[in-house]
Formats: sequence, C-alpha cells, structure tokens
Amino acid sequence: MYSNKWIGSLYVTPFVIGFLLFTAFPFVASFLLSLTDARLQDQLGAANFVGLSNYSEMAADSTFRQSLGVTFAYVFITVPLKLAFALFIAVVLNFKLKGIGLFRTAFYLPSILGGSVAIAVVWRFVFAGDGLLNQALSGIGIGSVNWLGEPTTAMFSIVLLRLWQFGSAMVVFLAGLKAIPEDLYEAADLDGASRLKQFFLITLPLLTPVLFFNFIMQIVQAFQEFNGPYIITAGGPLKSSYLLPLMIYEEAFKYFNLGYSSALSWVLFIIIALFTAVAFWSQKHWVFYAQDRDDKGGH
Amino acid sequence: MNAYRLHRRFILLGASAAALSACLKPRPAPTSGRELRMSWWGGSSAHKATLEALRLFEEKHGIRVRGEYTGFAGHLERLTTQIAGGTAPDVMQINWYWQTLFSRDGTGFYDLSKLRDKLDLSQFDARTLSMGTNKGVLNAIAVSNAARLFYLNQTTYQKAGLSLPTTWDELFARGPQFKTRLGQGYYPLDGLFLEFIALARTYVVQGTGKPLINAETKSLNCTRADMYDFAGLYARMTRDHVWPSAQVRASYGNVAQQEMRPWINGQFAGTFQWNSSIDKYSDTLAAKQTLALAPYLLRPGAKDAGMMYRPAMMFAVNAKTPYPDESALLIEFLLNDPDGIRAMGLRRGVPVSKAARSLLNKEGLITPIQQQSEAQLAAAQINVVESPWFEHPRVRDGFQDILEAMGYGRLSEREAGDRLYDDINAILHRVVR
Repeated sequence: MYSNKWIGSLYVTPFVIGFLLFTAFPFVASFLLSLTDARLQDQLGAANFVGLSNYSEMAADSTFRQSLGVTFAYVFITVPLKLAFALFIAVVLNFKLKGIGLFRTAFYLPSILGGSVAIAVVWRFVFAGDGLLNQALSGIGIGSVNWLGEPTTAMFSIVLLRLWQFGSAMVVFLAGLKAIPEDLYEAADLDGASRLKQFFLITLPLLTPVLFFNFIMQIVQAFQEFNGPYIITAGGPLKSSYLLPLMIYEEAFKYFNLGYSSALSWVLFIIIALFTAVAFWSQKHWVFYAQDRDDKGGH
Repeated sequence: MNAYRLHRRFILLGASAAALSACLKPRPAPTSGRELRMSWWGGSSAHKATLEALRLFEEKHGIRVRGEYTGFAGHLERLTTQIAGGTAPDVMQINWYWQTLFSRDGTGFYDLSKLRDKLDLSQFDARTLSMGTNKGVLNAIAVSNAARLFYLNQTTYQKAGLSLPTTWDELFARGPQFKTRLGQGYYPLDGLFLEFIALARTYVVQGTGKPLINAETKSLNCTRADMYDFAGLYARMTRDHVWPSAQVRASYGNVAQQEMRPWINGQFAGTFQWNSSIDKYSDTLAAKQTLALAPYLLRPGAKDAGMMYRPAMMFAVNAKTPYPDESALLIEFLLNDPDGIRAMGLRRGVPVSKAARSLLNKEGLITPIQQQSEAQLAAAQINVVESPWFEHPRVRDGFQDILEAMGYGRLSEREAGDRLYDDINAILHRVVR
C-alpha cells in the first residue's frame, strides 16, 4: 500500500517534471547564456564567458534604448486604458437588463480570439492604407489616415489590438462587482448619494483587490506583447513599435546573438519583476481587502 | 468466457491492422534500415513536387527519405537550431549566404568533392561550383541560379500609353508620367526596402565595377561619394514618384509585396525581383494583368551590369551524416536524373545542371518569361561577384534604417550618405568574421 504522501507526490510528478524541463531549466540556461557570447549557429561549447559585458553593451545600444522607451510607452498607455475600458464595460454589463447574458458573451468574444496571429493579420488588413477603417472613414467623408505608416498612429494601432482583448479583465471585474453587497448601495440610496458618488465611494474601493489583480496581469502581459508588432508593423515605422520582446526575438533568431538576446530577456524579466514588486508594495496604500475591514471592525 | 474475449480482441486487432495496411500505399522495401532526412523550404507546389521526387527516389534506390519542409519564414531559425543541436538532416536545402553562417572554414558541411563517384559534378560549370566552395572545400551545389531583374506590369504601362523603360533616365521619367496619366496611386516600380537596397547596389556597382562589399577588408568597396549616390537614388526615386515613399509603403503594414492590393491590381507596376521566384509574383496578379521582363537598365559607361547573380538555393550534406553516399545519391537523383528532373520541374527555378536544362528544354517545360530571363542573363556583362555579406541581416537592416530615416525626413540626403558610409563600414567591421 502506498502512503498518502507518496500518492500525492506521484500526482504532482508530471507537473514537476514539466516545470523543471520547460521552465526552470530554460530559466537558468538563459541566465548562463546571457553571460556568454553564444551564437545560435555555433555549438554551445564554442561560446566564451564574457561576464556582464552583454549587459553593459546595452547602455551603448541606441536600438535597445529606443526599444525600451517604446515598450514603456506601450505599457503606460495600454494598461490604464484597458483597465478603464474593461471596468466601464463590466459596470454596464452589471445592470439587470433583459438579455444581458448575450451581451456579456458578445463582449467576451474578442478575448477568446485573443491576440492570435490570425487576428493580427486581420488587424493589419483593417488598419492598412486601403483597409476597412479608411474605407469606412472615406465613406462618411473623413479623409484617410495613414495608421500604419506614421510612428504615432502605428503605435496606436498596436495599442488598440491589446485594448480590444479586454474581455478577460472585464469578466474578473464583473465577478468583483457581483461580490459587492447590495445593502451598501441601498444604504447609500437612502443617504441620497448619487450614482457617481456610489461608484467612487463604494464600488471602486471594494473593487481594488480585483483591480490590483488585473493590474498585475495586464502589466505582465503588456510587457510581453509580441504578435501585434511582429505581424502588423514589424516594429516600424522608424522602430516606433519595436517592443522589447520583438528585439529579443530578432537578436536571437535574425542576428543569432543568443548571448545578447538572453541578456535582453533577463532585463525584461527584471523590469517586470520590479513593476510587480512595486505594485505589491504599494497595495497597502490603495487596496482594500474585506479581511482588513473585518479586522478593523473587530478592533 | 475470458478465452472468448481474448479471441475476439485478436480478431479485432488483426482486422484493424489489415484495414490499416490496405489504406497505406505500398512502399518499396528499403535495401537496409537506412532512412535519410532532407529539409527544404518552399511553397505548396515545391513541396508537392519534392515529395513526388522523393517517392521516385525511394522506388529507384530503395532508400527511404523523410522530408522536413516549411515555408521560407522561420526555416533558417529551425535549421540553425538543428545544426547547433547536432540534429540537422542529412541533406539540406540552403541559401547561398548561409554558408557564411555555418561553414566559413569549409568544415560546416560535407565535402561534396569526396562524393564525386555518386554525384556527377561534371554537370555543373566552374562558376557554379565556386559559389559553393569555402576554403577549397565544396560545401554545396547550386540547384538554380537567380538574378534580380526588372519585371514590369505590361498592362499598366499600356494603360498609361508608355513603353517599358530601357534606360535609368527613362525609368526616372516614368514616375511623373504615371502620376499625371494614371493618378497618385500608380508607380512604375515598387518593392520593400530590401529590393531598393539591391537596386541601389546595382546602380552603384555599375559605376564602380567592383563588388559593394570587400570581405577581406571588412568594409565597403566604394567611396563616400558612391554612398551619396546610393542615398540620392532613393531620394530622387521617391520624390519623383518612381518608387512609393517610405510612408506609402509602411501604410500597408508588414506584408509581402505580391500580397499587396496595389501590386495585385497593377497600381504598383513593377518589381526588381529574383528571376527564380517571379512566378510567385505573376501568380497573384489580377486577371488580365501581364508581367513582362523589361530591358536591363545600365548607366551610361557602366563598368559592369552590377547584377545580383548568385545561386537561388543550394543542396548541402550534413558534415556528420552517417550516410554520405546515400545523401550524394539523393542529390544526384534530384539534380541530374531524368525522373528527378521531371518531378522537380521548375519549382526551384531553372536548374543549373546541364542534364536538367537539356531535358527541360527538349521537353518544352521552360516558360517564355523564364527563357527571356535566361537570355538576358546570358547577354549581360557580369564580372562582379558580390560578397555574401551583403545579404547579412545586420548589414541589410543597417541600409534600411538609414534610408527609412531619410524617407521620414529625419536625415538629409547628405547626412544619409554619410551615415551609410560610416555605419555600414562599422557594421561590416563587427559582423564579418
């Protein structure tokens, strides 16, 4: 007879093996590679240890600096907009209306399609100079816009692709809204609080744990955006949509600089980790957990 | 009861196996347990033709071949990973410049000259063999040669009432003529930055009579003034409506030229393209649009045609293959054997093998536009052989970034010329090994 302990271990073995092989090993290997001048086409044995020179090289790499700036701009624009939009739609879909289930499904659909290659190709077609959007604009008498051909608007097109996939954040917000007790709103109604006041003084504070969760998820995803810029603009024009993940890919698979590319991916990892850490640190100032309320009530 | 169940299970298993084997096409028994692996890139028609050729090879020689095929995008990444990991196929289709990546010292691929008893090298001329030779080692054999030529949309030119240009000046004049006669959206020539860089290289090399890059000195093989010409050509052609501006091209996003609507409907009425892949471009044209080979443009007093002329693709054998003889036999079949030649047809361009050319000519399988291209190549004065480093992604992107910056008004023509000279030299110094 197996003891419960061994049976448990047996159950988790597939995950542990998968994690070690496909996450832990590449994670450690990429760090070791980042300390070498490994090139993709050479045997790994031919790589030389170069210490931190790949990291110091970034300081002088103007493409890296530009890519980093573009990545930050993308994240700082996308994440707040996406959260605000997802919250707005969630609030609207929280109304008790006939057939609301259908609307909820419809609004979630883009997230099922996601940021896949096929959707990115469609996006390129929509925003192209002779694409659907410009045809529609011309149809109503507004002139065409060079969406993909100008640095500012190209970035906007990529941002919009991410915003379009607001469904998963919206569903989480919706679940959070459902969990807010109705009696709070009834009490506020009795006190004569307007809907806007209720939103800012009841809904938003009680949604902060959900907002925090969505914020972390969106930050992590936005920093890793690849499909959109790769397929729609190839990072252009003038590298205006050349996000860091695209640079990492090109350094490894276009220029074969495996060592430098690994170093870039570690920098991206550190940036994401820093943002996540700051978010966790800051939550005590703005995230309101039910547990805190109960504790404070108890005292 | 148990015996009955067991019995029934065996019957079911036997019946399933019989049904399965009946579904499978009978394959010839291999002469041994040998199984070769061969990788290539291409479109669906190339895949189909190659698989048929491999099937015929199996029938003839009793050696199984497993095909590993993809589109061009991502193929190099896949092959690179395989070579680095020691799992590369026995026979590989490679690009000419990939030799600089994998076999600079000649040891990256098998020495095909050691396999001449299985592979008839007399079917290939000295120039072809030299293009696959590194440090005296024959690493790869060309399947077909390719050159960038001018292919123009005859239908659009006729619509404008214009003849195909025969000189650079005539080409420059076509820009304003197209704009006036057909409208803002029509251009006499188009392409990605990649194509423009090849075009400008041709223009400069016609003036210098030397390859643009000197791999020995790891530098540009021209003067700063030549780079002013390079930049000036882009400025002039985009300003005069000969070539779509950077903004116009970028407005279509990251899309292949032949898949762009203006190409399909004939508004972008020309390309400076490899003759080996021109079918891909003519295939996507709308009905009643015709692509024609235009005269090759030469500068007055040109010292060379400046043609980008090199193998379109090559076959190489894995340096560590356990089956070198069988691999050579496979290449021999694909390039020189009548059955292999017929099966492959023109899917990889017009073959360079004398046996293949002779057979395809005899059977009338070479299309008129390909015959014209071949005749133009034969008539051209091609003495300059460009360094493969010209096609290195870092070098190519270096050219592109500067031209794009100029196209968007971030650099003047003069500044772009200076940057081309300084930056490309710096890149070459860094990447050429």
